[in-house]
Amino acid sequence: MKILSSGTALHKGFSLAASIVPSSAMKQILQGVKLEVTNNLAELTATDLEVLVKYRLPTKACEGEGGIVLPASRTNNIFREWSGNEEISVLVEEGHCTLQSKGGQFKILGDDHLQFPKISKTDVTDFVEIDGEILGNMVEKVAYAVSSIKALSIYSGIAIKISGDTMIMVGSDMNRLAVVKRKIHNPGNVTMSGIAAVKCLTFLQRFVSECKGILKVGIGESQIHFIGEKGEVISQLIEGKYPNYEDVIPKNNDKKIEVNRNELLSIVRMASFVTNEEYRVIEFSLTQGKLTIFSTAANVGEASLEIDAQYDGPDYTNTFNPDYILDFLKASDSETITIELGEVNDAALFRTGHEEINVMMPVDWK
Amino acid sequence: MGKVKILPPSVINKIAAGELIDRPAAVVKELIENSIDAGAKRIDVYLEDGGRKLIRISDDGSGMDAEDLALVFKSHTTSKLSSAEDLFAIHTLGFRGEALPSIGAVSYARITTRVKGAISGAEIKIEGGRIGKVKECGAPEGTQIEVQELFFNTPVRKKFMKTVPTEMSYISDVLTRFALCYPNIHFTLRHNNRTVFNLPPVQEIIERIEGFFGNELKKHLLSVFLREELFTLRGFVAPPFLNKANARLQFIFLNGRYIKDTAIYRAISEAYQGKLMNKRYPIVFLFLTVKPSEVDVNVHPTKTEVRFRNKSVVFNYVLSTLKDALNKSQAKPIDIAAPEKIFQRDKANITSAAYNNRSLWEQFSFENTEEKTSGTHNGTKSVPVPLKKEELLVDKDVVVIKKRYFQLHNTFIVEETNEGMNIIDQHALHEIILYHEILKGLQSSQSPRQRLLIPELVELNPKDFFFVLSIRAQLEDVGIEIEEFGSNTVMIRSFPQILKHLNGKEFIENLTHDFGEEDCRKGNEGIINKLVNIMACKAAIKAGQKLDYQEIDTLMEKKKNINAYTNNCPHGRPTTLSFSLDELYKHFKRK
Repeated sequence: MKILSSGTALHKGFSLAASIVPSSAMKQILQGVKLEVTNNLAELTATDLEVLVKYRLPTKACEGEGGIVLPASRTNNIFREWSGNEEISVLVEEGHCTLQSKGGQFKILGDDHLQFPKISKTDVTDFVEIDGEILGNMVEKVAYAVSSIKALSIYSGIAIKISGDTMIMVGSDMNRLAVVKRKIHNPGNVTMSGIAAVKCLTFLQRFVSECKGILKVGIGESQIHFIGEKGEVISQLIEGKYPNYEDVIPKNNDKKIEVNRNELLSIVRMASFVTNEEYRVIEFSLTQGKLTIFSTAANVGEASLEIDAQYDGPDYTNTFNPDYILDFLKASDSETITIELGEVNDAALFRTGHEEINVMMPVDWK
Repeated sequence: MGKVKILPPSVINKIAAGELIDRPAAVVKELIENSIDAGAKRIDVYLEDGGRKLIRISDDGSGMDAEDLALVFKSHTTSKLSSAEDLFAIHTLGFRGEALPSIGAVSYARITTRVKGAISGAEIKIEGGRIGKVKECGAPEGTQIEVQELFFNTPVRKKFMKTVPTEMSYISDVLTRFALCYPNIHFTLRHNNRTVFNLPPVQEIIERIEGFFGNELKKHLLSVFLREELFTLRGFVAPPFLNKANARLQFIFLNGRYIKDTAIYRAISEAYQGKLMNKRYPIVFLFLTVKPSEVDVNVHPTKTEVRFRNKSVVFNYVLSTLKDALNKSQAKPIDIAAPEKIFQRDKANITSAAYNNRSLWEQFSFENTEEKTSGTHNGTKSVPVPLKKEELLVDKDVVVIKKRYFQLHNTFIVEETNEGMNIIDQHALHEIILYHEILKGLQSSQSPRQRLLIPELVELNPKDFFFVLSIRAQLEDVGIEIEEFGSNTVMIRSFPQILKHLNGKEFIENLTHDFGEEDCRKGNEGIINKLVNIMACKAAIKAGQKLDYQEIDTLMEKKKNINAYTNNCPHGRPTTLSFSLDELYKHFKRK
């Protein structure tokens, strides 16, 4: 089996597949990327046993059929060095592969591609369509709120709900919640939902930047599939029932302000300079037409920063974790942010005009 | 007139009660023993206000006729002994005839009973030692005993009763012990109309162990068995890597009776010698059967203390059996302490845990391929952190390096000082720093806690549930707000910000294991102090954790600020070992 491809195409495709390969795995074969040619189509496959990626490699020529599992890291280094080369030939023979390009060649030992794990039969039957770039952007807007403590399994994933012409993604670590909604093409009017691992979705962000265009998305009992023209990503769903996110979105917060996102980002970031590592607290104070952020830390000092805000309600003060506010503001691309606040112990609601919501609980002092 | 008087029976019984019945759990224990001796296959315990208001125990045992019932509240009346010789061949749990008179002396009690097959039942009441008459009545087969207003006539003892959750914790301990020892009996425990546990009969003790302590423990337990002429030992022990901060999970039963015996504890401790860290305790479930003539259970009214005829033989049997079991056990099967894994807490690293049972792959065997053996995953390998110039003092064009430090084996920080060098345990140092920071924050009401948007539910076993509830006020004081949420479940409403990297559910689940028995007796301040201690330990950086320059820098900076109390961590371990230049010179024969 032999393929001929450009240095750029091989490097892009191989590094994408290699990025899902675990740095340490119980089996050597899982530390490799499978290269396979069937029906004159070259395909790269990699997995960490939770997420699988398949990428159709653009080639100039394909001869024969067969495959090999190449060591991900070493082979990727070679393709990176040759990424500017016009042509690379990959010749697969018994147990090894010869990479040849301008100025030299490598003989790389590989594993039998038939030993590479086979995917279990899928239970995904229905698909909807969405632009890959929009999907990647949705992930960015909720991934920050997902819990990094893995024992909280359902909160270590992003809940995806598809219904009618809308896809909703929800992320939460139980202290805060991020929601984003986008339109989709749903010709079969199917409804489906599941909790996808953050790892899969953050990889998907990289995948869609390489494989632009429309993606088909399908959710089954145990798997979620993203299928594009150049490849596909398949991941195991996290078991469990995600709580109804709408229940925690405050409905009666009566104090509303509208502020410029960049201005708010700037003063919250500055105020967070005067907090310490263990105690991340800023005070949020509303007065007529003004939002003031105050912070203080023992042995450091204090900060008081203000911006104009459209507000004419009663004076209000509450305390929040600045990291939560910064995470939301950094992920948003809206020019203005609406903040809805209730009583001192009530959750605060941050929203943008782009169907993005963040709900966070205040911090109090004990 | 002589001063010495014979005490009236009512006073004698109250004195006896003082020794035997010290809290509701003691009543429950004595009455369940009676039910078991009566051959009950089902025992239902119902309580109100942690047993302070009402204890009701119903069984389906043999029951009593009116004649026997008339005697039960009288001192030293029993159906289980007839002569002094019987004392040395006791086959029943009770035998002293003290329990019921003692209970009756300090409460309002009523017994309703019917012998199997009898047409009618009988009832008797006792009010603070005043025994009523036996009356005929309708009753289910078996015996039902109701004890109300315990200690109503002994106000001092009444005052010594603890909160409802604490009393419930003792009672669920008692029930757990019986349930472990008698898997074929159906036990139920209800409190204030809520089921605490319902344990239908099972074939094997191991099933009960799983029910109480979970599948994880069950699957690692090692079976032990020894049969000698006068002695049989069977049971289960946990491999050393599954250990606890206290000895609460050491259950020893002798002839169906829960006992505490120093010789057996010593044998357990010796069997695990060298396998456990200091102040860690193994988990054991041992069931001994000894010929009744070889043991005296009549040492103390509560009968948890026994005297073996040949203590050293029992010690040797237990020790050798446990050692055999432990030697046969494999090395630690799960990679609990791989340091590299522990410390990647900031990354959304959601690898195997949630998916262990749900592989994406259908047919994939690990058998044919060689495992990676390169050893690159050595978490204790020294990190190539170069010496760091912490501070440069520019003085008359001469650059003087004031202090330098580096990390060693991802666990220690080596600091050069003007006098020599310090070796610092990074975890112990951070722990003591946090301990004082948390205490300071709490004292000045400057300890932030994060309210949860979605309250977290933590399901506990009954003992842990009542224990956690018993320290609810102290938890709230340190920033952990919990609420009771149905049977055996608590809801976390807020959690201290300093523990933001910790899983609240795991923190609460492990609390009972982190608390030693002596910690629970220390009162409000002692409990808060212990909680702060646990928080500091859990939030601190760990041994094996790779630190970057910034982190080492911050740690050393904080050390400078609190130098006065950094010599020992809250557990008493040293944080810093200092070596003077003189010592170093001497070691290298330079002086």
